[in-house]
Amino acid sequence: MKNKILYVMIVVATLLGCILSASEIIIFLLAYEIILLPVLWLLTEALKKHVKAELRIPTAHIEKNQEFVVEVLLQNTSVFPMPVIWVRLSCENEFTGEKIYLEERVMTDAKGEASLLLSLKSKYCGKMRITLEEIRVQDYLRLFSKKTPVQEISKEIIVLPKIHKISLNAITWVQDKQEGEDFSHARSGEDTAEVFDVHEYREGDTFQRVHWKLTAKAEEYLVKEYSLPIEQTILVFLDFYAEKEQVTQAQFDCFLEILASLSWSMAEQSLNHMILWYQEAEGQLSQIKIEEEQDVYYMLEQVCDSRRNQKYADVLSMYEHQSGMQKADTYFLLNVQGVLYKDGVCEKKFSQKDLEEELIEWKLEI
Amino acid sequence: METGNLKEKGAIQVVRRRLVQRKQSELNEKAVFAVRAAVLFLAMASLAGMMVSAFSVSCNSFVLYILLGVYSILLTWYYEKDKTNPAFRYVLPGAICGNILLIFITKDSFLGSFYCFMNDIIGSLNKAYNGSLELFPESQITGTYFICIVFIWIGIFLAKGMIEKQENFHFIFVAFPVLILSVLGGGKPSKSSMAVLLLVFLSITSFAGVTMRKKFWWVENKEEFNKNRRVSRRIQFRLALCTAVVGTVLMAASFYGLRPVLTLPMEKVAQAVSPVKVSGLQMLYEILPKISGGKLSFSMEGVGGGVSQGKLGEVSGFSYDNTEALQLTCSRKPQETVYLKGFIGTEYTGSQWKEREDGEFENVVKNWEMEENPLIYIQNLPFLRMLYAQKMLGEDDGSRLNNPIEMTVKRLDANVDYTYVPYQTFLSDRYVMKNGDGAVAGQIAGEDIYSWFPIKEYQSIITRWKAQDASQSRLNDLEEVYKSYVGVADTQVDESGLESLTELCKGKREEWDSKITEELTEEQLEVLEQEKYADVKKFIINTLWSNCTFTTEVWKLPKGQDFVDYFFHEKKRGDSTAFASTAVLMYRMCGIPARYVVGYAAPSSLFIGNGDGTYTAVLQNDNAHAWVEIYVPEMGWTPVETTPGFVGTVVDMEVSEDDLKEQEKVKEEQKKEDAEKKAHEHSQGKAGIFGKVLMILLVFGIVLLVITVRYRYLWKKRRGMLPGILKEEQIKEVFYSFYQVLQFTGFPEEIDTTTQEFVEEVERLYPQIEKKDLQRYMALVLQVHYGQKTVTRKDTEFSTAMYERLVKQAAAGLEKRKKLLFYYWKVF
Repeated sequence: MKNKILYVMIVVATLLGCILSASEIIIFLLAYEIILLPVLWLLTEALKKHVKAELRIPTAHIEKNQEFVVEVLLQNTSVFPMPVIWVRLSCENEFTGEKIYLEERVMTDAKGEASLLLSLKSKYCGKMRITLEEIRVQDYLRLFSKKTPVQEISKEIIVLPKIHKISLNAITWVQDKQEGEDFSHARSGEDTAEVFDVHEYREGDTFQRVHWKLTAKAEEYLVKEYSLPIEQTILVFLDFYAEKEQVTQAQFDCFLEILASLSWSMAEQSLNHMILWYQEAEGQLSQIKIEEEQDVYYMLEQVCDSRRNQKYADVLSMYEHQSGMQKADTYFLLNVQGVLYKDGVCEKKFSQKDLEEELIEWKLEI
Repeated sequence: METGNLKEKGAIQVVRRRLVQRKQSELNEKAVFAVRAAVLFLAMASLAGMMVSAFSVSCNSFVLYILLGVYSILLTWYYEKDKTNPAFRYVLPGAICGNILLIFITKDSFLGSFYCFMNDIIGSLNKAYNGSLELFPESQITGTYFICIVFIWIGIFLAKGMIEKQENFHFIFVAFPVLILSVLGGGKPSKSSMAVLLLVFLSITSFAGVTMRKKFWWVENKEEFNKNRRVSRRIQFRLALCTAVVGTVLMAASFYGLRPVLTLPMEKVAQAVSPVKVSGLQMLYEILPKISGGKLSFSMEGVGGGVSQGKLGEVSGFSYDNTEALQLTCSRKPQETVYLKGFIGTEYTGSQWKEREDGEFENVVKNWEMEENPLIYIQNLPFLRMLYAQKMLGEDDGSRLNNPIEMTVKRLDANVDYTYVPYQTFLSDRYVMKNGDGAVAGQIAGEDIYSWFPIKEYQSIITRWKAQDASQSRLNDLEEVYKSYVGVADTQVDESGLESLTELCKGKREEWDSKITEELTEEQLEVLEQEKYADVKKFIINTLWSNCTFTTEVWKLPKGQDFVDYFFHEKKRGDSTAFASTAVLMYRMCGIPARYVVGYAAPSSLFIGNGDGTYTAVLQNDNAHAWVEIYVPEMGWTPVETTPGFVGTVVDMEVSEDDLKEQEKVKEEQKKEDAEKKAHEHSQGKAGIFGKVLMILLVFGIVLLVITVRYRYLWKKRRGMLPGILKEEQIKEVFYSFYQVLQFTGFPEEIDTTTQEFVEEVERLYPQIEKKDLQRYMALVLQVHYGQKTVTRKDTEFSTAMYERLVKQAAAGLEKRKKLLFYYWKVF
């Protein structure tokens, strides 16, 4: 715009000169300035068709506050050099919603290729979407600029929270719970270890299923229904509910850091666990089973793709209803304010400021 | 969540940006070097060429351009070299010292060359603006040496910008003043130098797109940085070629294609906005002498719209009504228009009147036996004849009416090339005649005193004397010789291009040639001559007035056209120069000697009594005029008015009743035109006001610019954001501003900033600033000032944040007036 204004001023000054003196040279200069404009415009039109762009991000995951490089590769296929190509990118943290725009000027020689390398880092966790918004080519006097058609190229990168090792004391749980003695109260199954229910004999029931003791008492044939066993994992519920003003980006980060540290520490100690959360947008309970460390990263990816819930949802009840358990045995509930509940009781309230220290020093008994 | 700008404090931060060239085409580095050197050479050559051609500076162009070529190669080589080599750091300072030493050793030649150069420029300025700027002492050495030395410095400056930094600011910084000076200095820069300058400007401006960006080109990684540099040079090489080819083609298209198309509308627009232009020039006319201490001024003589010294149809002058040209003081009030002759044209070339050739009339009078200067004598003939006639008639009795009028003519702003002389006056020998019997040359004296006879009185006395006594006298002998001379010299007309006018006058000439024969007696001849003059005058006036109209509008004569023919047959409207020129030719075609005169006409009404019996008139530019003078035997050169509207103010010969009626009719029409002219002048006056308003706006704009620049500078300074400042300096600068804010709000000066008392006092005055932060800030400041702390970016950001917090708190407690001072004068 600045150059356009300057050019207009020059043309106006030349026009004034023509009016005042009407000399041959000044009229020629005015004619030149007028004739130059369409030539530059045509040049820009021609140049815009000869630019190709590609967006590259070498990694899929990155830790918070760690640098990563975004590369925009530009190809000039014309015989003219392009001294000014404007590249515009947007960078959005989908978890926090923050979006910024980047603009940079690049040069390429005729039939050349150049890369714009941007080293970025994110202060907060979440899924970052890098989009190549626009490529603009300018003429040699930088009066006109034309947009090169770019199909919106987007790439994602997950910014993971820092993971701290938490001291877990889970011996009792392991001894008691590893055999998997829990059965469903809502549905029958085929596990003969436990009888779910009895019913009157119906055609098709096998004689092996007859409950002889009760049959003797009831004077009619009663058939056993066996139970459905429930897996023995630690449940970690996530509560995404928060009023907009009550939670900040930093708090979300803390929430993720606690979750990641807790989950990773449990996976490290081979404590299988399940992460469950309710997504308002999708209207369903999401769950991911964590058996090894790789699962933690996968889980964090999915969690980072989530959004804050605007209405409160009792995740625990939803799970109990869905799974048929009367009551979850050992479970944790972590909310976005950074409060961890164990079996319904507040286990710990983490502070943002000293989170790392608190996590490292924390001894959790399971 | 809101979107944010990258540079603001946000969660997503850009740590660095880098440009890496993945693939580039191969190119001969020597070719690239050659092109860059060529562009530098062309830049310098076009600037030098423009200065030399605009001011006609005496200079050996061959030597100059060779040296500029050498400079270009050396400077391009130097600025392309890697400066990390320690040896190169001393090359440029060494060259500069060597240059200074050379100037010192050859100071006489340098000074001589400088004087020559400056004299050429000053001469050009003086010529353009009628100036009197003093020249330097004359020198035999040309300006070449001086220009060659100066262009070393200019070359270094240009090369630094163009080659090293790859931007166009340096070039514009030099070229713009040179261009303005060349144009405004009255010079005519050569077309070739302007064309080359234009191409160079386009090239360099396109280069500016690949300005070196060290950080972005990854200066830490030498390999990548050099790749980027190479690519930028190649881009420049290709841009230079593109600009040269395309630029030249566009030049040809503009010059031969679009320019002719634009010329006609531009002329029309120029005519339409000429009042604004005139106002601007009027303003410049007033300002120029003031700013140059009276040494420069515009020459403003105009004749009914701006033509002087015989040139016709050139729109180079303009009407400036407020110029005072001459001041006349007479011993008694003239009863008729006073004509003061300036330029006298005798030869018509089709586009101008030329004075009589040097020596032509001198050859005629060289055989005259007289003690006096014969050229002056011819001028004095009418005055002497008057005295003689009065004596013969016995009317030298001291009657006031027949005494000559004593007139003082004081030159104010009239053209200095001429002395403005009334008819029937006596000139002393100190006056110099230009071209024989033509105009009186200008002289140093600012005032002339004449004794002269008004035309009416003169004609009355002479007519009576002739009737009474027509005896020969010495005066008559000389007069006969002169009459014969002018009868030949001043009746000549080159009829090519004037065939139709000649045809028109042919009949009248033949009519009178048939009547005036040798068989007639002297008395009959005399009577017929008088009738002839009256009849021809009537014929010319009727022909002119019925065919053409008077206007003050000045038009440009198209190339190849004859002025009179174009005026009479095509334009059909013109000013006094057009009417007078046509009338002179028509008189000549009818066999009557006639000349074209430019000077001033002072109507009787302009003279105002001074209370002591004298009368004064101040003649302005609109009193400049052109008229015809015809040679009437025994009367001498007599002015004849042929421009409509001026008749009746001029004493002419017998005018018939019909002519008088016609004159009245013309007067009426002239009155209407005057009324329109007044309305036009009113708008000109408005345009004059417009010019003044423009000036005020310009001054205001400059003041605003200065204020803005100052504000930005101070704002950045307060926050330690000036370019090139180190982080430690930034902390110190910000703390200094911090302390200044405290002082502004009345902080006690006696408290030492290094003590805890300082912190407590600040905390007390500004409780909103947390003590913990204040203590941390002061610790940082003290460490920077007295310790070895390595300052990080976080520290500088923290420091600036503390300053901003203090500013906010401090401003909140200020009254309105002080707040304005706080923000806009102190720029906290």
